Amino acid sequence: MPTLPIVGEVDTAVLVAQLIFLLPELILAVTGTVIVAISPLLRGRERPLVFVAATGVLAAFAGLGPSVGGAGEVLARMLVLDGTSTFFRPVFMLGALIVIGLSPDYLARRQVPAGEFYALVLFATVGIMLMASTHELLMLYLGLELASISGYVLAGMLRSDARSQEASIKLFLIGAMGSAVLLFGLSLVYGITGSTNLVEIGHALTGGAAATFRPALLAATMFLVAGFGFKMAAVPFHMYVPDAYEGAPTPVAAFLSVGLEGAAFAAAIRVFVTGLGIIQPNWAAVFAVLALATMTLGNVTALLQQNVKRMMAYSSIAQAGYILVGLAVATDRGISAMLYYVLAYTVMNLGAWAALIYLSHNGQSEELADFAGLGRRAPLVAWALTFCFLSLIGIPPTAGFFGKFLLFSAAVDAGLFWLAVAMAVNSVISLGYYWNVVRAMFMEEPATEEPLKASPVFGLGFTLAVLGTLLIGLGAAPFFRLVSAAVVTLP
Amino acid sequence: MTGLQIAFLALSAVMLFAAWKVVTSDIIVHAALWMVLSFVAVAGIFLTLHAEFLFAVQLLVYAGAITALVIFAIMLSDIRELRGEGEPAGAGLGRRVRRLVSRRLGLAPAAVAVGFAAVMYSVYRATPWPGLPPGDPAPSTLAIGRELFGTYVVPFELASIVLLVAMVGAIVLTLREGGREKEEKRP
Repeated sequence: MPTLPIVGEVDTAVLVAQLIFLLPELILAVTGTVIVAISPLLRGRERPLVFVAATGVLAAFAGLGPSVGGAGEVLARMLVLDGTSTFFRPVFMLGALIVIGLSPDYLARRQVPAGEFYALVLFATVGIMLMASTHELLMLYLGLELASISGYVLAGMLRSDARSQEASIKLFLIGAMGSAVLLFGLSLVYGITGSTNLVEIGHALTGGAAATFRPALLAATMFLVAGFGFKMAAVPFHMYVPDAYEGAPTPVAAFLSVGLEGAAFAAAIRVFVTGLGIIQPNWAAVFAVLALATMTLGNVTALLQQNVKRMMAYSSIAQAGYILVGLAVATDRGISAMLYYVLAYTVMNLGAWAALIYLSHNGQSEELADFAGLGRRAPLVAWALTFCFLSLIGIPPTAGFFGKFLLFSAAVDAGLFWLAVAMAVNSVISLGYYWNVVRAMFMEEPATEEPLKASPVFGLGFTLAVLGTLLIGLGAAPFFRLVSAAVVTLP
Repeated sequence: MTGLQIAFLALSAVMLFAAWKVVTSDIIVHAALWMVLSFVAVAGIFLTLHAEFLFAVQLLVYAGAITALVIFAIMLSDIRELRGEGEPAGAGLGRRVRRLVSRRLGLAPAAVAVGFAAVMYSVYRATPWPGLPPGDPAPSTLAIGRELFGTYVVPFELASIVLLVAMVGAIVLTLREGGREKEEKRP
């Protein structure tokens, strides 16, 4: 191997050797680029690309190998390998894999350019994985932009549909606004601490510095909460979410609701716990109020929806409210419960969206009436959807139950009884709108008896989501250990 | 007050005025040109703060490249005027009154901007900002280059993926089916 120069303070040879830790992201990015390059050559026969994309994600899973076990900050401190990143990277890849599996029928029917769709999903996955695995604010921001810009484009991919264009524009304008607010907060933090590394920021704020710089630090916290609030779809920063998810292609709405939101939570854990841990009472109280507002408004508004896609958008706002409880508690137990819930949310929410994608690629719309008699026309899908709904409500033995249980007990543990009670009440409210769909599926007569179809690839994606919901719930113990171990390594 | 401070304040005033005109101009090309002025003023502010590299980049990238892109985008689209609902053209007292309650031009956004500035000013005044660390060398182009291709080489490459995504996105969102169809006129 030729000797490599030392640039600045960085030994280039070490840097190149450590690229192995970036292997999953590199594989995903290369797969995306290859798909973009070959899709014009396929001249419309883009269906096989789903296998290329899925193979890329599976290879990226294998590429995680060297990173498992953790090695601290690598690549000139740009990437951090600890319990949290070891947990989130495969979770986000699982989400991407399921979305890729669910998409091909929908893309073919709605004439979405499949090559660009898969490529952008893969690029966005690179962004959200990096957001969860860095202590460097610059990387965090670039990851966020990579995921967000991919999201804006994906949302507008139904080019003949004005609602899709509207979704794209709304995501873009509100997303740019959210990024600007976030950046302003980050710049204040940099101004106070002189560092863009969250561990350094945490150190710089110890020893009375937090009290000295209190006014600017509180202003920064306000901007950071608002900036992340936009990305997490937390009330009152959620206004764009229902329109965006309703107008976007359904697989995109599914991907955004788990991928981008999950990454926002992962990045928020890093920024607030690692970087701003010393002023925890200040931001935890804000998150407690946001959690209450988000879950309550999400659930109550979901009750009023006739369009199931819109209902799912409000449902995902409500779910974001539950996850926010972890940040409101901000103990180790709270954070580990949050990690578990993000995993559970990824599979159960994708399972529920899968049913919408299924109806849509069979030429149905997403109104409540379209679900009538689905229990007779497509019993498997109907039962699987019911199961995912049970998980979203939080009924045992599903993944959602254990997720809510962990969050609930973490809140009680930290003395936030009112928040725990609010979670319980909200779960009961959510029963109402999920039940509406279930009743339509099993108790109403279908308009036609014509059976619905799906391709094997769709079946695989759907099975992965539903099995995940079941297994992460039934075999919760190893996942508990995983998330508990993930949090110990947080400073 | 030193000459540099006077220059800083004057440039800030120019920047704020230009930024205000960007938002309130009805004709979109005017807005773009006001934006150039605000970019140039920001470049000047960088210069008064001894950030020569940022000054050059601000002029080249923002006042140069970004502006050219914006003008091209305006040229290629058929949007010439920006006017929200309830913002009538023409003159007279009625128009002035309606401008005052407009969401883009009226009192409410001005009040929000002034309120925000007041809050941030009090925050800045109340915080004892840390000075530069002692012995910190003035950032030279050489030092920035070393950092960019040393410590920050991974985010530097990540930025290129972001640009790739933006490029793919621009093509996907504007290419019509078949690539030959004429763009439909929006109603």
